Amino acid sequence: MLAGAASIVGSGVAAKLAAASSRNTVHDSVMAGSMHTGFAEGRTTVDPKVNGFDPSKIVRDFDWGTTQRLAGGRVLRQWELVAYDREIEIVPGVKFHAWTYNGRVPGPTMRCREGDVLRIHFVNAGSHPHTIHFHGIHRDIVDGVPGIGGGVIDVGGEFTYSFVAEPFGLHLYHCHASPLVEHISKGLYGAFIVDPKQGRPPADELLMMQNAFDPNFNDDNEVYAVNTVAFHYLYKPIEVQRDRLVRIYLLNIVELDPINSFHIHGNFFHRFPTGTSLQPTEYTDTVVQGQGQRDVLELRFPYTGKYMFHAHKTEFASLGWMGMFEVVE
Amino acid sequence: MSSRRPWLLAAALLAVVLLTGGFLSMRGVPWRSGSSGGGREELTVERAALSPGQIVLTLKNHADDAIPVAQAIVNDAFVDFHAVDAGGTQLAIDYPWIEGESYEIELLTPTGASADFEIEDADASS
Repeated sequence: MLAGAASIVGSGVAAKLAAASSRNTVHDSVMAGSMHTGFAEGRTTVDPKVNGFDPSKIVRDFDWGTTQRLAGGRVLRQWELVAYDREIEIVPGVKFHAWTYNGRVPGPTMRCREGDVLRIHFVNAGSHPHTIHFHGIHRDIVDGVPGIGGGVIDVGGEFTYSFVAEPFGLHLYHCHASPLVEHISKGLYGAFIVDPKQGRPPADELLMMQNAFDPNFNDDNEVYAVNTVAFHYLYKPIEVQRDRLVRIYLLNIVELDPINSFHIHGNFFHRFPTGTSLQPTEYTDTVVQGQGQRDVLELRFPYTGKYMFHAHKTEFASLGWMGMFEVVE
Repeated sequence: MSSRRPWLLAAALLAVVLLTGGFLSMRGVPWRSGSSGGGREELTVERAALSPGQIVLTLKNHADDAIPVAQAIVNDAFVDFHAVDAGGTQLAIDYPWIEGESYEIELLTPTGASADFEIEDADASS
């Protein structure tokens, strides 16, 4: 019996079919994690221990790296990213053979300040050649694409990407080895946030990476999420404080579908496209993003209670991209 | 998810399954299973039967080992399901289906492979 299936609590009961000696006869039945978009009590999400990472922690997990002051005053900020394969559970009972940076999907949310010198040591411990391609302004030799600079890093290989953090804003990093769709959709991506030199107003900051998975490899995503696990924040709401400024770093890394969207209930937000300006361009409750697009969103909740957020590409919502804020005093 | 595949409709003309019995009937077409393994269709949906508010699927395991069903999707939405019989060869989905409409059903196994089934024309005739 496959691990996980029997431990999942839900209203669905798995049909467990028989072995060859008695095909289509009973062995036993197990409880399964049948999900739907309702609010029935007792529903659950994937146990974070199974994956080794917890979407409830990833949402506020910003990795500033290790730092040292360089001659001249600049900050040198360093990270190590290791690519390796890992099986993860994307919706209760369903596993996905992911390719990861540092064992998690999305990879670490790398955070720095405009003008910092960044040094990212990459180790490929995976089963296929990989790279790291950073969005931002830098020289071609550290662009993480095949045939230029370090190029594609073979299995067992290493490379150090070094560049200055610019411009400020919300950026992506991801593998750029071919076939690109495969390397991204299997999980090799993360957020890369460059803070403006003067900073942003203090806020409760949240990272939301919209992603999706095609576990049966039919070029059609079956599972959608924010931060990997379908419906996670529906069953484990994100707690925020009433009237406190909330800042959402929203990215769309979904492959196979051209657009995605974010909608919030009972509220509106200010939108800062790509986070590259400190002036918002829009006050709205829904934002549409193409592949690779990012926005910084700022809002305050005036009332306590539970407020849903989800893709307004509603089939994505019904397939896992749905969550809840719980606003408290 | 992309929109429905046109070839499914063509395939539906070749394989129509009529059901009788205690349920209302419908016409359905079993189609390829997605697979994260070698592509072999190890779990298939043999037929579907409709009763008011419910879709009952009859499953067949072609593999040597038991295959749990971890999740069920109907028309791009996760849905609840439960076993009808103790053996787990029939699976019931509570779903407010509408006569004359079509439904794509995917059953996901723990490996991510799927058993897929198309109800072309939900029908209340027997």
